[in-house]
Amino acid sequence: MKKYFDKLNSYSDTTAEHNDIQQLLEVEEKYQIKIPEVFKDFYEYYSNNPTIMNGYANFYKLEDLKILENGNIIFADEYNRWNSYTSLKLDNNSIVRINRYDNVEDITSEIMGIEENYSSLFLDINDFMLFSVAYSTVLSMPLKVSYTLPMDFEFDEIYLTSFFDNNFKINKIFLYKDILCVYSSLSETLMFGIKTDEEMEEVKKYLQKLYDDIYLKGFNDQNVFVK
Amino acid sequence: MKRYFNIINKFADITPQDNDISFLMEIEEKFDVTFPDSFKLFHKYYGKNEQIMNGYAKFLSMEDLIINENKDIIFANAFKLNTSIQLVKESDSGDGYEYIKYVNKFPTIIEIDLTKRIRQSDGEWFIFDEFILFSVAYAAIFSMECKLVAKADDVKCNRFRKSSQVQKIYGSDYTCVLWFYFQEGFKQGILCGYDKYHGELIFGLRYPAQKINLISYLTNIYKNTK
Repeated sequence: MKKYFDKLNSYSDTTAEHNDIQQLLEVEEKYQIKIPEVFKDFYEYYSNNPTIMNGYANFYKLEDLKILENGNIIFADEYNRWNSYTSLKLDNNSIVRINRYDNVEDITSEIMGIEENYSSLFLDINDFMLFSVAYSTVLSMPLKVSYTLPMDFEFDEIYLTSFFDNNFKINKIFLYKDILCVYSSLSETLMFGIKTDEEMEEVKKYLQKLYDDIYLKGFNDQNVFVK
Repeated sequence: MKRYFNIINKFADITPQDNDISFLMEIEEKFDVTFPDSFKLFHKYYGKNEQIMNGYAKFLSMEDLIINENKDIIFANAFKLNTSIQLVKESDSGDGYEYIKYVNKFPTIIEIDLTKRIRQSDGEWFIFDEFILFSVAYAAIFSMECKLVAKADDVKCNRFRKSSQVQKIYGSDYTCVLWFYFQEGFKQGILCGYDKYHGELIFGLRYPAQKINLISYLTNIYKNTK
């Protein structure tokens, strides 16, 4: 994954660090586990970069990682829109959303008879770590344009080029005419990192196209929302 | 506000600190700003309490407070993407209260809304004293043996708040509020709060056995609230 980190770094002139990750290697040995390479690469490159460590999530410093008895690692506090007490745990190659506090019980479904769907989250570790860097890369640009898609609207990748050979399912990284763009399905937000006035004009045109060609058509077809 | 902080301290066995807050006074003088008394007391009591300073929000230390050219004070980051929390001196209504407001952490993000639909309540203001007290109560609740959370809108919250078993500690109708529920003596109560921003009731129970009664009580309220 380093090659993708390096490619992202080139968009924001971020210099990769070479931080000591001996602590992670010791965890591997102690618990006889294999920490995903992308996780180790992330900490090697960015663990002293405050923009990335506080960008898409509040990543813990190496010395603050919480290692559980089974070798799982709680490594970040999540930024979400549902509550303020979820953290993220590395479990093999997946990321799982957990409560930051022990023994918190959500009784909503019990008292209302409905299921809440925000409590579980399983993300591919590559997806999350690369997206976190891409998101912060966009944030570090001189200008950022953010567009929140309408509720219940399925995002279409039309006009955009995937940054990778195969994009991920939850979080996606695109290029639009060499403008870096991130889309988080969790926040349903598309955000572009912009360096020049010309790029700003390009993004405005794209969003207008998205609105005219897809949004209005889609919602008119469904009779849900009419301009 | 001291009185209310002390109620929570006593209930949750929190020992308030006696931190030196002279730096806040220096900031006031240097930048010609005034911090609310509750803010000063918060830093005096809890400025080095990790659970509270990293609980409901990530509160900035006194040294890290951000004061912009309009003399707005950024004093915390929310657990929400790109969101900081700012102290606002007075509402447009001129009611004399100090407020907090959720603001974009990165002012250079241009948010485009082609649909003109409002999706979330980021523009909402909350009374500062209620927010700061709620933040202490939040950490207190989540430090307790058993904690329950339940999604609730303002209607459900109000219905619960006004029920006979609930005794209010502090808070107005439409912002963060705190109560005791089933108060059978101070230490036997359940500390409750309403996180209006996320639409969630939170409960700190001293005894797990209290859970059955609480769920039954809430089920009844929710059932009768459309």
